[in-house]
Amino acid sequence: VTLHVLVVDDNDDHRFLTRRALAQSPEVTLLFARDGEEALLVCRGPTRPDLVLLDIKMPRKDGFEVLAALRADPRTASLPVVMLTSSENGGDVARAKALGADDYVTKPLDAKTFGERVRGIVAAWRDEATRRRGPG
Amino acid sequence: MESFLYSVSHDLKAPLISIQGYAQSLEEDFGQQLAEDGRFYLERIRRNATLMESLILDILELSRIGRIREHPEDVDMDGLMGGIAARLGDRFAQAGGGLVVKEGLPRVHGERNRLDQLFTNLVDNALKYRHPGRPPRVEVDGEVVDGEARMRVRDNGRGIPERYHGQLFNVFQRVPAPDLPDPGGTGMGLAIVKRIADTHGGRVWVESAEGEGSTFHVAFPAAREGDA
Repeated sequence: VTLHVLVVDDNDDHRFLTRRALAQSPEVTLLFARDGEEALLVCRGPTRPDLVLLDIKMPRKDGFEVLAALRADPRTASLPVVMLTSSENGGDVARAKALGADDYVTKPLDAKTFGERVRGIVAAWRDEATRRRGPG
Repeated sequence: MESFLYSVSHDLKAPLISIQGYAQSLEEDFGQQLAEDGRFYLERIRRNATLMESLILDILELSRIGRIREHPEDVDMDGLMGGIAARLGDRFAQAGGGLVVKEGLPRVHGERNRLDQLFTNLVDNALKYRHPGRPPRVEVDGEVVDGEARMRVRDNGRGIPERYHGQLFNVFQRVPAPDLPDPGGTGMGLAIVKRIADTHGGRVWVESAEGEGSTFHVAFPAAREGDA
């Protein structure tokens, strides 16, 4: 099963390091966006991601604005979103949770645990989607 | 100024995260191939990145004091200092010393978590800057004087030469002591103490002499009856 994971980050090095952190997860196919506007285009486009890894501080639209826009659109309202941030700021965590983020991870990412975490979130989301659809 | 500091420290974190991420990648992917020198250099990169992270976090913390406010309340300093003693007392005991908090401390009207941070920093400093020749001891007491709630944190540490007293509460200020063990830290602890005192309408000062311990005084407007 292929997991399409969208990495949204304006920093080239951080995108590269996120790619590396998921390199041991062969089932993951990565998509990339460099800012919030681009992220929304990808999420509403033909290759819909199974998960969005969303940086907070970005130009054009920041991570919170993207998250709010995703949750407000019925097509993407239930899409799992993990916020990536550069600091463990209690205010940011609370705001991300209030807007409906599924998880919150501090950079730099730990390659040993991050892939597992991503797979766990997507598996839980797929189980929930299957349960909602019901048998058959 | 605070929002400038907040913005700058966030922007400083992005390249630091890259440095930490690449150092971690280098260690995980190529660590086994590095000679001893190479592993030493990598360790130094990581150690300095960690120090820089602490500096940035302290700048961020300093920028938050006064910018992000908690609801002020009438704080029972006996209870607050009791909590600090419960958290830090063991470290004094392990070093053969002690932390004594006298009862009957005055009440202070302010932000509980910030007041806790202020006195935790002062007590923790007494551990960090202990005298190498004696176990660390701290005594905390306080009283109301001329409408002010005055708190005192007295330690028996290495003390501070008088020529440094005027700059002690500046950011990134550390008192040089080349002959004593480096306790680490960023030199921001007392700047944070002063900033918290300032935002509470209070003041902070020190009495100290080299080799003879230090007494930090913090004075706040006393809580009025009915404050809550």
